[in-house]
Amino acid sequence: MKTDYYQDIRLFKYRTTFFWYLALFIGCIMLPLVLDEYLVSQLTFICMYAVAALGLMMLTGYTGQVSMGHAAFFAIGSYTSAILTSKGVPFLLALPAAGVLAALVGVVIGRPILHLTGLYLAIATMGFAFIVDEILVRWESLTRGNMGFYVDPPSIGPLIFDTEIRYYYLTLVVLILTLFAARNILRSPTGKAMIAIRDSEVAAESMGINLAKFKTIAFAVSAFFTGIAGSLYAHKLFFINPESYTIFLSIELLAMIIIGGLGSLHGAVFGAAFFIFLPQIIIMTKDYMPTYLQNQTGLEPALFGLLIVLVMLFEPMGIYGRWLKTRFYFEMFPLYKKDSFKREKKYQKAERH
Amino acid sequence: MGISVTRVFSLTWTIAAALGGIGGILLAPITFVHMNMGFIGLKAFPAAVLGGLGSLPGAIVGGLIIGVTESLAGFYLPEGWKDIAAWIILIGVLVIRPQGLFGIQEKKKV
Repeated sequence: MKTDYYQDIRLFKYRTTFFWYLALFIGCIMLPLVLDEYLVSQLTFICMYAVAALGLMMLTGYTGQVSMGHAAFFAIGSYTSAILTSKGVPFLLALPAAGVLAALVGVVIGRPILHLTGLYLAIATMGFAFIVDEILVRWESLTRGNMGFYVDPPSIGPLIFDTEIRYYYLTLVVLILTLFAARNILRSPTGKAMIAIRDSEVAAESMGINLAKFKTIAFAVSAFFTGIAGSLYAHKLFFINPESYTIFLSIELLAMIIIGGLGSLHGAVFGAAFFIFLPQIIIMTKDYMPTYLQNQTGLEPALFGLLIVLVMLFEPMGIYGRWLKTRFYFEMFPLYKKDSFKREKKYQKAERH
Repeated sequence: MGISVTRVFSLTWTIAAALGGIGGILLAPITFVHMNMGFIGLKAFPAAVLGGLGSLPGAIVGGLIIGVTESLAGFYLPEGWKDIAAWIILIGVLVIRPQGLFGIQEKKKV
């Protein structure tokens, strides 16, 4: 029962929620004990992409600004971290530096295009990503162009993250810190202002919210998270070149948060997991298919695309929507009706996270 | 109002796909036909946005500007500028005119 206004903005809604997350955390720590190295490396990729998706979620899911240029922030993070560590800067400094530089670029690019909306903004950010990509190719003295850049495994003090399991723990910790930061931003007045801007710019402005200021903050926060993810990506692959940061990455990140469910932190993680694990699952189920299907070339991408379309058709709110509906079903167990969820949803439109 | 939304939507999609197809027919003789041809669609976006969405003359002018810029940049500027010159112009135009060259500033309803 609600007895206090502060209950609305607590970090964990109920005390039980905290224990569920604690259980999940312990589960995540235990996972490398049961999984083989390959699957652990896939988990690392999920954590990494989830951080980037969280960044995009802050901008697109919570502030309502569509960006198709997040590959650029990802690339800036990667290259900053790679160049700094190659010059002898410790990883513990290079990681935040990657985020900060990405955030600065985010402010510089975000500021002049603040008043763009919808498709115009998407195309402008996409153009920005193309320009950054070209700069990475041409600025050979710094980025070594298409030759690529070799990156060493990161180390903090005497601890070197050179095995899959160690790197998994590193990304997991970064992911949790990012989630924590995102959740805290969202329950602060800044986060509420961002959500207000998403729901109606005019209404937000008339309530005294400075649109330019909060949109710039959203751009900066979003670019910061994505830059951090880019840094993790560079140190995971050991080798980066501009080919890894094309428009496909931007689209993939956007698809992740849409499939995961726009406007929810869970959604970013679900979306990343969906994008990394689904191709694996498709390959695993291939053994059970008839032979003429198995030998079909291009089967995996086709099935992958088909599944994305199906998820979007049957669950417009993404995986998080399905999760909410399932939870709601069990909470209301005998009384659940198809429309009861809809009504609930409308009532708390500005509260979905 | 008696308008069949489904029909209008399918008709729009049909016309859009047909026009895209005609564009493809015109493009094929001067480039190779290959799997990644779809990338040319990425050039159609800035053309439409530059001219202003919802404006036919805008689409023509936008397409012309993008195409001419790209060719001129490929000829006069150092290598690498060809691909991004159009984008730089696009962002520049959008900063000054957020609705594109011929787009109409939409009145927002609260």
